[in-house]
Amino acid sequence: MVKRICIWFAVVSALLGVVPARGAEDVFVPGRTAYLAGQFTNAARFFQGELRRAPSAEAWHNFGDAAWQAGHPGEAVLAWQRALWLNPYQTNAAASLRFVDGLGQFSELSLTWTEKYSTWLPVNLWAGLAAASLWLAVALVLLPVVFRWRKSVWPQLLAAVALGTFVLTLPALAGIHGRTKLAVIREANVPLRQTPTQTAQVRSRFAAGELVRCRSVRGKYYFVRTANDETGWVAQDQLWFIAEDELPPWPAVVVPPGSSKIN
Amino acid sequence: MKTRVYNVFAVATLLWLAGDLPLRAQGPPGNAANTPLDPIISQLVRMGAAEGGVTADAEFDSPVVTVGQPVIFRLVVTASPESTAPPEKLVAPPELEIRAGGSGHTIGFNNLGMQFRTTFIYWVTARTAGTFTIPAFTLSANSRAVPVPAKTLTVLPAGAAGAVRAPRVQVEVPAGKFYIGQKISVPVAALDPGDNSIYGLGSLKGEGDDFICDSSPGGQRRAMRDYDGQQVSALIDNIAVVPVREGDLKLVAQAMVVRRPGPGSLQNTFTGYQPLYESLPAVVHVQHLPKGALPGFTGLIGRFTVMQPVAAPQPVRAGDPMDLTVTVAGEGNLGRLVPPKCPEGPDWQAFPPVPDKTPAILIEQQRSNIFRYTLIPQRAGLLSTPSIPFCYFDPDRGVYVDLTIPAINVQVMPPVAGMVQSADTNLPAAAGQELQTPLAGLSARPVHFAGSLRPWQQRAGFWGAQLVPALVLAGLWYWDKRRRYLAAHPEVVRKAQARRGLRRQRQLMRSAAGNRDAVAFARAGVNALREACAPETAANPAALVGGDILAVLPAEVVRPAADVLVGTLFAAVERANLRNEPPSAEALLAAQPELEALLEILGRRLW
Repeated sequence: MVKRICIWFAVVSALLGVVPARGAEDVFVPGRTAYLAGQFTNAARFFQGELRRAPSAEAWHNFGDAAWQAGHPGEAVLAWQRALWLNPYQTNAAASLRFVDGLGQFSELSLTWTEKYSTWLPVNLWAGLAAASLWLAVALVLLPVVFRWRKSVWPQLLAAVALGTFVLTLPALAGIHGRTKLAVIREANVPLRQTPTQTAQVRSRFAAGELVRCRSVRGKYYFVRTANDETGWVAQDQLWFIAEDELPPWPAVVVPPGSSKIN
Repeated sequence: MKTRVYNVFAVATLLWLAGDLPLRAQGPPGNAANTPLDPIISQLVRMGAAEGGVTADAEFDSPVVTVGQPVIFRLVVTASPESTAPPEKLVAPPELEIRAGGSGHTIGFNNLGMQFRTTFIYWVTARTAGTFTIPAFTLSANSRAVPVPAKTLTVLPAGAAGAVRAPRVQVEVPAGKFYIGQKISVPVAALDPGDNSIYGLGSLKGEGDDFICDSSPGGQRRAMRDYDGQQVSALIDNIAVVPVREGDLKLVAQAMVVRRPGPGSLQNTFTGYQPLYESLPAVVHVQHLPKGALPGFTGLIGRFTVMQPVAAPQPVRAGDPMDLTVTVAGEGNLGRLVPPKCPEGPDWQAFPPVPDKTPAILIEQQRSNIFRYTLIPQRAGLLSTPSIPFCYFDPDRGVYVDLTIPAINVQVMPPVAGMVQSADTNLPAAAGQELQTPLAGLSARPVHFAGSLRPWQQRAGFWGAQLVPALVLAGLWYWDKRRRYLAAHPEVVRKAQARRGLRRQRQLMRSAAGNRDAVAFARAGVNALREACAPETAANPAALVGGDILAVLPAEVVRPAADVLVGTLFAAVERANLRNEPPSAEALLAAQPELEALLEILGRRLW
């Protein structure tokens, strides 16, 4: 029985991506070398390639660090947010975001309680947990009847636990849905406009990396709410959504002499 | 009323403590300034004026003078300068030459409150000896006609004894060359007429369109001065003036002189009045600054030194602002110092300097001006701040003196706020790495892979995958439900089995008919009848005999013909099985349509 549970756990964990993949120990070495040599642009370029090849929370975090050092705070904040999105236990990315918050360049966007709750586990783990618990509860209710199993306590108890787990995942799923509306401002001085037009009055301007909550879209503009509870319209090409796969563009690679490891 | 008295008392106390009852001295009549007064004082003044009315009086500062000796004719009105319209030209005997001087006002107290005392000065010079009277006249104040009594001046021949000396205010312009923009400290002396009647000097200031009058630190002092050949005590204070154009400029000083009242003085008419005095014009020779100014000249004239600049905070990170504080000390127009611009370079972004916000008078008392630059280092390393060109003009030597603000070395750390760091930093790598710790370091290897950032709940594949367990469980549920239904209704199963058997046997029967095989046709026909009728008897189809079939035939079947057909088929099968006598193919096969019709009727009953 224990062996069976272990096998199931391994399978589910591998599906959810919480078990380290084998054979990936050395892929970050060129990027880290470039970073430590102060070639931040090249390092960011490398990590972007890694993200394109095999996206991971760690690659996002490293890309964020390199982008920050290379003078791209918008890309850096986006990368750290995405690292935390994939793995909320990515303490390095969390520390980097705390560090940026500490600089006081912009206010921190407050999350709803469901959104905070959803950060307790990786986003996909919530969905997997919800699905697994739901079907387990349904199965434990249905199968004893179908197969005319002898009535006992543990299936009912397990069904109750599974059903409770499913109920507990619902707020997290709602929170994740809310967090998919969060976006990062790409550049400094992006205007927050009164109306969704290019000539509209500018209500304020953003700092690069500032987090906003998108409410609706009209034409090429998103209606957003800022950390200061200010609302307005921001052009679509000035935002990156945390939960979207679009990679931030990066300048062409600059390879100094003697650093041919960077491709 | 009591409140008003308290207010008057409070304001009076404040003014007394400040020791500055005179408010303002102004230029010639008609040029009164419109600077608003404090609202409380204005209210008190209005009350005093309303209840006390407006009065006017005049006096010659010295009632007995000699020919050619200028004397002040002082006209005092208890109204504000803005509401007073003095006569532009006094009506006087032609022997008197009259020139309008300056004006000024104070706020004093009468029995009912506070009141303005506005003074207008006229310079009167007699051409001949005699007694001359400026007749009474009226002037307009507060829109009223206010009478001014006649005043008489006795003029003695030149050099005659008996002239009464009055206090005299004179400007003592120091010797030397002066330049436009140079701050000149000019002593102003109030000469005592010889009776030690002058106690103090207030509201001292310079007048003249060609000067900017400035404050001058320092106190009053007494010294001896020559007054028409007699050494008298003089109260001396300084004014600071800055000439704004070249040429021989005339400078006039005004002051409220605190003096002991003499007989017939206006001080007896107006309690606490301090008469306004004005000096005769003094000439100041002003010239342009010479050419050849050094870089960074912003008009600083005097004698100065620059202290070592101070940079803070240190160490600073690349991209973070840093303040460079510069202190210039010395004597000159420090209060009006304009800091030079900081040149920009590749290593520094410079913002316009922030001048010293301290009041000019305090700056000049402290003899130092502190201004500040905001610089942002553009890269890490050991950088030198820009050397800022600056110079001043030394009026004593007539040359420009370099006062360049020296560069200082600043340790600039690598950026943490997203600034670009150049590769040729001189900073040791260890220090750079230490400052990167806020970013918490790089991850060593990828661990948590994710094909997409879109959450599962927003992917169609996730919801498609949910169909698998849903369909499985739904299928199980349906299967169980069907099973339970069939267990409760066995006839449904029997009918289904009968339909399948009937269908199979009819196919066999048609096949046999096609082959002209009468035996097989008869067997298939019998079996078909058995299959079709078995649900009605709840028996095994193979166990049914012809009688059983006939017993359960439905009413719609034509009985005699059906009975014959069933009997014929069963008989043929029996003969073929038991006696091995094949039936007549022609006779049996001819009954196929009738048999098909019967089976059709029986088949409908199975649904």
